Amino acid sequence: MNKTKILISSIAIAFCASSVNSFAFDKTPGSGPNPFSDCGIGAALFKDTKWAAVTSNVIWDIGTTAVTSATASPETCSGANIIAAKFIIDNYDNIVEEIAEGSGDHLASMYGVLGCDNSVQTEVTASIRTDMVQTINQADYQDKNLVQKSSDLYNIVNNSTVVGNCAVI
Amino acid sequence: MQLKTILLCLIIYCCTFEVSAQKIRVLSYPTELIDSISASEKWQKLIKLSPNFDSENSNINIHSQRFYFSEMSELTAKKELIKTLYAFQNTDHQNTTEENPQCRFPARYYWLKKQFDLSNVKEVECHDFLAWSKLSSTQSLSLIFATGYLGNPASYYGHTLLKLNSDQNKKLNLLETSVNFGAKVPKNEDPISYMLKGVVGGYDGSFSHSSYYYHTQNYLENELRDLWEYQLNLSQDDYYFLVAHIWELIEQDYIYYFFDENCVYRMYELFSLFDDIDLPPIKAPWVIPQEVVSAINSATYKGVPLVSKVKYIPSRQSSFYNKYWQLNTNEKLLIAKIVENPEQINLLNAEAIVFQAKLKILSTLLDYYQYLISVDKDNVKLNKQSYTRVLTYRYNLAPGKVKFKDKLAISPHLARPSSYLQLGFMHNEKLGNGVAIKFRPAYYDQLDAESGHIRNGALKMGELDLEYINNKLAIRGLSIFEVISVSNQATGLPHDGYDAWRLYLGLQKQDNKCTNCADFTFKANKGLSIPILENTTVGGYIGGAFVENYLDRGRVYISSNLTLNQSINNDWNFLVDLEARKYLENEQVTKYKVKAETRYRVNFNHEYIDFRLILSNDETVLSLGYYW
Repeated sequence: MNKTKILISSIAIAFCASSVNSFAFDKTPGSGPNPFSDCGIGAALFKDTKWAAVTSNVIWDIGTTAVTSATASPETCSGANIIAAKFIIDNYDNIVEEIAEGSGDHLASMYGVLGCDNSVQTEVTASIRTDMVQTINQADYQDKNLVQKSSDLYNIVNNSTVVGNCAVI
Repeated sequence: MQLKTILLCLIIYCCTFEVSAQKIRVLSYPTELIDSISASEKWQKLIKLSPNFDSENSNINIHSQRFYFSEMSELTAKKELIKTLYAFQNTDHQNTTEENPQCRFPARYYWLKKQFDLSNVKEVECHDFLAWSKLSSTQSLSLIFATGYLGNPASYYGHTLLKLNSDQNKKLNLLETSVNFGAKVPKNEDPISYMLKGVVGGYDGSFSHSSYYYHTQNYLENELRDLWEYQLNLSQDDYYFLVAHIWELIEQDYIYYFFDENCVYRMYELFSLFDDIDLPPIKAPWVIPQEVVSAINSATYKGVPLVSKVKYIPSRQSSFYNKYWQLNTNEKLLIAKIVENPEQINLLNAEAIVFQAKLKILSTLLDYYQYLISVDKDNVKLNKQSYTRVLTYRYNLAPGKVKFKDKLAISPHLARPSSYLQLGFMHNEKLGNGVAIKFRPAYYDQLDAESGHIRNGALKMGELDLEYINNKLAIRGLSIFEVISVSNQATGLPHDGYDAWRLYLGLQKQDNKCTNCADFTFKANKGLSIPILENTTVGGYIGGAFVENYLDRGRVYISSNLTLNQSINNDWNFLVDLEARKYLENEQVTKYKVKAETRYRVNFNHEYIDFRLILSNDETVLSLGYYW
């Protein structure tokens, strides 16, 4: 198990390192990689299940090793982006519901990872919400799996014109 | 040959003795100081030896060699202290910072620095520990209690976690670090092995850590369990000490016992490390999460309450019920129509429906479908489609928060203790007068459920009911388990009906007219339990049982029950249970059983007692019960 994780993490780091060359010098919003597609971790980290069925009171493998290893990857595939992507897929429904309302704990936690100050969060949410309205009204939204939806949301956040105020993006 | 062996043993013994003696000399600490510290309770707690332990290897709580510098086979408190001090002062062979004993055992180092002169030890910056603990920003610690879950026997009584809070003033941060203790159960373990091994110590248990949201998703969204957060009031010194000790314990193997040395016991044990804490002891030989939560809430720390703030976090299901039952009749009607035919969501376009009402309905529907996605596994795709339809409609409205009142939930620490002892005086029309004694280790029955329990439900394990009547002492009942599951707040919407079920396994008296006639019984019933008024619930069940053959009635019967649960006020309630049995063998006799029971509870000076009157076929019992 550990060997598998080390292998996956190594591949992830290698992919991330190679991505750095492409993205490191372009800092405009939306120009960074999307961890779902660009950081090479893929299925190891982002699973298409609402939530892995686990039994309470039992220790379970939650992929923290992969996340921790991924944090070692440089710059654009940075640890915070990976953690944010993982947070988005694991809390997707809560985040999307809170974007619809305009605020919430999950949304605030996501901004915490991305380094968005309280002062800009309302503006960022409004911007993301505008894009989410377009996305959710698309005919194929219903058919997308959780990874695709989370990847789209990650792109929306990343492409927002106001996320320049967030330290990580 | 024997002489050689003796000589070899002598040499090994002398060498070992010499090494220890040399280490003490190298360490240049007085032997008296070494003796005193190694015998101290705090040191023994830090290295997880039972208090006053100084013999070989019998009461070691952790059985991971990597937790000790000594060989486990020769572990004593004193040897471990000497080796620990030696390790702190001799780190030349360590390849990485993280292998440095200061980084592996930051709590030991922190505490021993106060007991010994370690000024010659070079301080090391432990990057992994500091990154994990977020000590630069972490300011408080919370104990999290997850209410019981009937989907898994190990979670019947609830579960506890710890959460490290990085900023007290900020809103909830779901990425905070949480610490869990649990059994390491192999995948696909069968239920029988799972239960047996859990009870007899067949599993290892250990502390693990993860982001808090893994637990909120699992408990609130998946298993639909409410959470309670108890924020603790600790000094920065003790906070550091505790977090450092948890770091030492992560992934170290304990033996897990379901009834006593379980998850919540290990949490309780952590708090006993502090000098300035007055922590109520756990009285019973078993450890139940609710009891530990109560103890933590009663504890004082440096003369003030240990718990500074209590917060209730409802599950998706509780959130749904809280919202649904605040809707007016028209709003409930609209929900019923939309659920029946999702196209009817366009009914919300009506101008007569104000914006806030639309938000209420949509928010309730989102919770409803999320709840169904968790419980209705056969229709996940359909429920997801309905959910997305509602979400899309919500996105096409303006943003805004829905105004619902928060549920007035009572914290489980305010509930009565879990164990129960009852003394009853009985009159039996055939057998005369007698005495009954009931003992229940945990947890609740249909009349005494409180916060954290399911009202009108039951969860009992190991309840022993004895009678002394007609000059005979006999068992009236002995339950291995008894579970009654009801849905008190069900809405009646699809897949949120009034389903109820009952399961019993144990010894049960077959008839009130006999004594010494408690026989093996396995009973299962399925039915409906409908709250027709706020304080009135009626139920109907059908099912059957396998029993011992009594009076040649046979070993199998089918049964139907009608029940009524009625609360008169907060302290007084009653239950009526009418049962008809049809035995399927021999003469296929039919029997009717009637039971009416009323309970009145009293609480004075935090002592909890109750009075009960039970009328049943041929028998009347008047009892006094005490919770402890």
